[in-house]
Amino acid sequence: MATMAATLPPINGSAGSRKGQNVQHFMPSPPKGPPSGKKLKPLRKIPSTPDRDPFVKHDILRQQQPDLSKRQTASFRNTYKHNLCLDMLQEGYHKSFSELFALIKQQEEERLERGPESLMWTLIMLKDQHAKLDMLKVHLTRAEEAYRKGDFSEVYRNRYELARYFQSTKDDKWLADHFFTTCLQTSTEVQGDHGKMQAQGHYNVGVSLEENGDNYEAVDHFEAYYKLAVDHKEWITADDVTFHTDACFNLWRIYTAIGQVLERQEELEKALDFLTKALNMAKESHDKTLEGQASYTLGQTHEKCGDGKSALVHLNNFLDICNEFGNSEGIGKACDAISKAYASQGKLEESIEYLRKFVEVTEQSGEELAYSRACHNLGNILNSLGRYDEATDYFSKAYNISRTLSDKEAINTNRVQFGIAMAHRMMGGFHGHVVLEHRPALERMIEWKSARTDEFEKPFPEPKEEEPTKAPTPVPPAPVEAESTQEEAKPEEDNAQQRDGTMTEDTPTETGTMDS
Amino acid sequence: MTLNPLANPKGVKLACELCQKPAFIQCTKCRVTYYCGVEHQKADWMGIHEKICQSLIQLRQASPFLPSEEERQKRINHLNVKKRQMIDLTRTTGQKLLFEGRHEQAVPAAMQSLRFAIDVHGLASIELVPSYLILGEASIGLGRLSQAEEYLAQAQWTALKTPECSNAIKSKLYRNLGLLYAAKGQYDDSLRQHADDIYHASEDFGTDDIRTSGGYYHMANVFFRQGRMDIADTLYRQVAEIWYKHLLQIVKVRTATPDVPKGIGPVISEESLEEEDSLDEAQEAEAVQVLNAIYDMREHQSNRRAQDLAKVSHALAMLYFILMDITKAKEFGRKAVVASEGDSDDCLSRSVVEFMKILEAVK
Repeated sequence: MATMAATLPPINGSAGSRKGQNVQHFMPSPPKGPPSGKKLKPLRKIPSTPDRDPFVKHDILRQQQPDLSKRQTASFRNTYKHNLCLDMLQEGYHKSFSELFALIKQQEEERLERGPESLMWTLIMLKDQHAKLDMLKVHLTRAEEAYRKGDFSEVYRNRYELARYFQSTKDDKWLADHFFTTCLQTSTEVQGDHGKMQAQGHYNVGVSLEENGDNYEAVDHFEAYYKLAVDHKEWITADDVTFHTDACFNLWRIYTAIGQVLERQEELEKALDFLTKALNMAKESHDKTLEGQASYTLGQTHEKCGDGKSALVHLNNFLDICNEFGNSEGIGKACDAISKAYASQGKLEESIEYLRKFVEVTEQSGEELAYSRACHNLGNILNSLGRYDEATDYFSKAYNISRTLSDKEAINTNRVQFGIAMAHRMMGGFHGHVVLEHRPALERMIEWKSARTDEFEKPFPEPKEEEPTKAPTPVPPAPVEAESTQEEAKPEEDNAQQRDGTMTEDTPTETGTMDS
Repeated sequence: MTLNPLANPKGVKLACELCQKPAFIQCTKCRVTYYCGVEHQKADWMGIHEKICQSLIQLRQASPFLPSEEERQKRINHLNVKKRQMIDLTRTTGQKLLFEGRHEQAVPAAMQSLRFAIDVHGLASIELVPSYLILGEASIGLGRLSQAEEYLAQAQWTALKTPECSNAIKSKLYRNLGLLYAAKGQYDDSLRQHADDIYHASEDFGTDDIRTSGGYYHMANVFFRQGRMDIADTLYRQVAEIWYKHLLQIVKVRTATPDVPKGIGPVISEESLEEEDSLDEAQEAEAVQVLNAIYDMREHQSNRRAQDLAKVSHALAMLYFILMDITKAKEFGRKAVVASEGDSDDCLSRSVVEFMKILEAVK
């Protein structure tokens, strides 16, 4: 046997009949032409460079270039990704290689799936972004090195680093997500820190899921984070907040987000559930502002459900907290909401009381928008109660403010409301005059028709006439009168405009009653 | 049957199948193959001739007189198909012999495949590369490095000149180059080549395929020889993992057909022969070799993890089950049970126990 192997046949021409084909060579032939020895160069040609023999030129060029090893030629021939993978594998980092390879493949497949019309088609692929590949290589290999030694916290750090890096670059959210997820997986292996890293891992994955819009999955991770953090109050984040508080804060945010989405989808029961959870979290975080906000949202939702009592409890809680902190904006919001809650329960007096507070607060804090709204709301409610004097006052305030803010929609509504209130106020006098049925009254009415000046309140010059009912009993806007009030509103409004002297727009014909 | 070269018809030179020297004996079965001596005939018979003896008759007979062009063409086509089949057969045989470590016997098979490949594809074709690779590997195994280098250089040059050369071929080429450098002791170059091998294999099959695992295995061996045990360890683990998963898959497919009322038994095994997701001969040989090597290594390792040993044992048990070697399968199954006992990984020990139950049922 041994002798047989010693006399292995030549590679080619093993069959005798094919000897003719053996002349074929596979090695590159040496360059043809004269050898480049100095003696053979024709002397006269040396000075004129362009005339030089191309082979001489080639030789010179060749001498200038360094001799390349096999590896160098290969690296020149291969793609960047190929070389990178080879470098990793050569050092034995096969896990890093598999991971990088899988990531690149995943991107390619996704791209193919989306097709050439998609936005992704035009993005630069990961395999062509050399800086990112280098970054991946460095940290992945470090992580694998640490993994071999069993130093999982180092693995975690490296993966975290990568995740942060890809968070900072554009269009690489998927990579950041991937590394956050692997961070979490790694952190379960970390011993001796009672799960601190795991908590961080859950937090990161939760945040990235939340950014992707997967709120429900994010909740799971945040809850896990919370569970880990609850037993270790001594853990502190970089911003000097305990993990526990941070977890509460995050849970509050995500619960609120989910609750609000559900509320928009009209699934109020579930929304209430989540918002209550949010409130509990806010309470647990000992952050009063959060608690206030949570109470406010919850109160609003209760209100929407028609559960006025619970709404009031939460809203009052919010008001207390705002009072405690002197948060005038919050107080305003609270008063507004509370007054609405009372109004919907039919308790108008309480409602007015809170609205007055609202007006006061906003006036002091100088928040004009809120102030205008407050005045408007208060005017509305007073108007419906028939307290026209006050109503006109507030409407005029609201109108003026919205004019200074030049908020067109608000101007128009306030203008109409102002007019209506004015008209209501005048109704009493006008009515009295109609009832009187004597000449001066009639004259005055005619005068009013032409001049549109409100003189119904003035006493008549003739003493013989008994005074018209000076303080006219407030006539609640009965449905019969509704039409007439509206008709009257228009001229009155013109009047108001004339008084203001700036209005040029045509009066809106619709009675823009602002929603409460 | 003896021949005398002097008695040959004029112009006909009968040459030995293996060494091309004048032939003195003839194969009595096919009568178209000649040898210089009994030794070469025996070697050829053991290597490949046994399998291809009868097919050679058809291929080597002088073409009969065929009057029409159509018939001549038909015969040529027919022969071509036949030759292609022979290429596949001889290559697989060669590969299998290589995995079994019988490098000497692999040489005739490889030579035969090279001959057919040249016949069908011509001299400069990429199709020749696999044959060169087998020859190269056999030469490495026999310690004839310069000859191996010659073969591999030839293969590499052909691959370079053929831009559309497939990744599978490239991967094999680099694997052999890696083996060559490793045999020469140039470990860094060897690692580079193996890295290339893994890269190309991954391009085609993915990073966790059994066809990629060979690269990992050889790389692990190089690291092992360099004394970088920690790296070698992770690579061996990776290889074991890949095979474990693959075998588990096959076993699952085979055992998960309880439609037949007779239950798990020979019926299933017969059916499973037609399963597509199976191992070919070369892969079987590779699995046996690789897994046994890893098992030996693990067994002698002092600071091994119990889980590793259990996994390899389980993989081996499944492998022998697939190869229908039930006694060996049971032996390794028991070893796996013992190894996985002290381990916390419930999943693995549970699957081992389940597998043992299947084994009991097979008997």
